[in-house]
Amino acid sequence: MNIGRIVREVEVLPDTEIEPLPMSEPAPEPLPEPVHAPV
Amino acid sequence: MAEVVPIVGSVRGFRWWRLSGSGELLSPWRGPVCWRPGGNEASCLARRGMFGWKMARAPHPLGCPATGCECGFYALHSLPEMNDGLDRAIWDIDTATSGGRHGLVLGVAAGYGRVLIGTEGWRARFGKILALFAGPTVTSHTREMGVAAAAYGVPLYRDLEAIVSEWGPDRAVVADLTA
Repeated sequence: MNIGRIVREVEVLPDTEIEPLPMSEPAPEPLPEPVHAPV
Repeated sequence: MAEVVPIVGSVRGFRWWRLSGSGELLSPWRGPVCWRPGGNEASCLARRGMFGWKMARAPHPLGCPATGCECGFYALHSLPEMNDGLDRAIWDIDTATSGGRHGLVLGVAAGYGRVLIGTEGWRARFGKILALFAGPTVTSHTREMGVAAAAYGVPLYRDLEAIVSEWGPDRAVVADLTA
């Protein structure tokens, strides 16, 4: 194909390359062991 | 040429592919290069050797496409026009014959990465098939086009105006890039 006279050079960054920011919320603390009252 | 301009997104253009016979789409005139669903990276196929196309003798410092070469994925800013004149190029084919007996399919491609913008089209390092067009004539290739569109995860249009308006290059963007 003939694209004609080259007039410009561009660097095209696909928008799909923009990664979402990592979640900053800390992981939840593990639940404490259940305490069993003596029967 | 001025400095390299960064753009986010992609440039779009019209081009032909060749049906392989098994639902794959190939670059029609150099290669054969089989396009994959999603992104494809071009390699330099500047020279014709005894066993097929080969890269240019001198490696390109900035990779493919290089200004002094012919490499990269190609597409046009406008639909290819039928031309019966002596200056006819091989891609000057009637768009209505897409999917016809010649086995060529018209569609829209996205180009990204390093892209050289020409007055009539562009050459890009990365290319992706976005949409395909099947002309009105039903041929033995019509079913294969459906298989190809499904395999590539792209829509197959029977209406040329619809594919142009929904997937074709934005005229304002083309005007800006070629100004």
